[in-house]
Amino acid sequence: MSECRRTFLKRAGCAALGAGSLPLLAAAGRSMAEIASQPAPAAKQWGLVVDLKKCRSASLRQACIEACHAAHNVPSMPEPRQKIEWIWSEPFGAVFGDQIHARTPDQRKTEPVLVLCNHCSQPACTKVCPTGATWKRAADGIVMMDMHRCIGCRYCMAACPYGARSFNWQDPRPYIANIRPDYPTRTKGVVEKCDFCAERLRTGGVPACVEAAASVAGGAGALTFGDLADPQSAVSQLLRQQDTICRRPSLGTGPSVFYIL
Amino acid sequence: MTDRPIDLCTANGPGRPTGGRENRASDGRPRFIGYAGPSKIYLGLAAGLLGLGFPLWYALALGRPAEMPPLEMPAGDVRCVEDAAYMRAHHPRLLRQWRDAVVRDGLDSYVSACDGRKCPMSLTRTCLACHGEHRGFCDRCHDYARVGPKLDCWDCHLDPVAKGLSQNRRSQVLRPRMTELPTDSGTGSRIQTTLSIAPHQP
Repeated sequence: MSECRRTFLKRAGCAALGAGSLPLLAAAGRSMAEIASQPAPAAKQWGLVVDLKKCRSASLRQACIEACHAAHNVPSMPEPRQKIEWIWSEPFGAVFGDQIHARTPDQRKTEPVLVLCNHCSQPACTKVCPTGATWKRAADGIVMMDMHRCIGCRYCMAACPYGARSFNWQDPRPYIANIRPDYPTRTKGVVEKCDFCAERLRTGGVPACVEAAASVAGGAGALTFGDLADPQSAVSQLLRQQDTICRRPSLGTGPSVFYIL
Repeated sequence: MTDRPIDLCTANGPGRPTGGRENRASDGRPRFIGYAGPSKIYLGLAAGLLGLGFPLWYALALGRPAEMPPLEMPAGDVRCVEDAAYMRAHHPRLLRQWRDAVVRDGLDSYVSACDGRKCPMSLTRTCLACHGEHRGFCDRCHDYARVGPKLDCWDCHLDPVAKGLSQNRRSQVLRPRMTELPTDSGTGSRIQTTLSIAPHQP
């Protein structure tokens, strides 16, 4: 009798296991088939190529920074720790710390480099945002900010390995010299950063920094903007032809801003 | 001890004489101390209800609606992006749609569902182009209707009139930009838009 029950239970268990796993196997097979049949994404990815040699010109860097900050009502905070920047200049040694070695000449280390949000393909900042206020826009690859949703937790600032984000510690309006009326300012308690001039791209323009660089004498080609997903775009061609680097590629964030050495 | 049943009205425990006083009326019914009689109870209830119901009966009898403050309406013959009844009822919905379309989807223009005109989805450039200062229109009605704790659009979006910009700079921003479109593109959905991001041609 006891032997009989034991065999019965064994067989019942095996049967249940077999019947239970069938749908799982079927589902696995189906999802593999779905993944295989999906068309490759044809999404755009805006990108920027910065020519380091041309960025040695202080007037060019200044023009880019001023054009950007004027276009977006970026305040000039008097307190350095409250500084708000969308695009700024930093020494090569600080920007490309992992490219510096014991014999790197000082001239290289101190060379100024224009830096801005890298609009990464795998952005760390968007993954930590609890409200969806910053996200990777699928249509054009811009890492966007929605100020309506930002609660000022600053997780994104902690997550960004490039320090591309700034926080409004106080109402920025008193620190904006000339408020441009048709672009919003920010308010106290939100994070802001470069958005590749989404408002200009929307109407077919190019980012303000790119336009400003081109208008400076000798600035043609200092900043080149275009679609990285399009192999014929100017940025894609430059990346094929020139020696370029990007910031901290080992992190796997996949920056969309490149620098011509 | 005896087996005599205890009278609850008189039994005050062993060794505690009642002092010859029982809580019973002369006819044997229990007596309740402090009973005021039916008339006083109903009087009190009526007074209480009258007091509690004051907001209701006062409003029914003597109440008048609070006076609607005059709104500063756009001058001249201008039409809003949608008809006035739709805007009155659904402007928060429309503005939320605009916000999400611009910020999240990268769209630019709105095509009016009532007449097919096209305008940028912009609080400052489109809404204020006709309505002028927000204090005379948005704030005044929101204050009257006690909507929300505060209308905080203007903490970030600019009201060129309220910011005291010169007439010249103001007109650069606030020129009405409604444009006529072929009617076929305008009918149907309320949100739409024409624009997405054009490919960059260097």
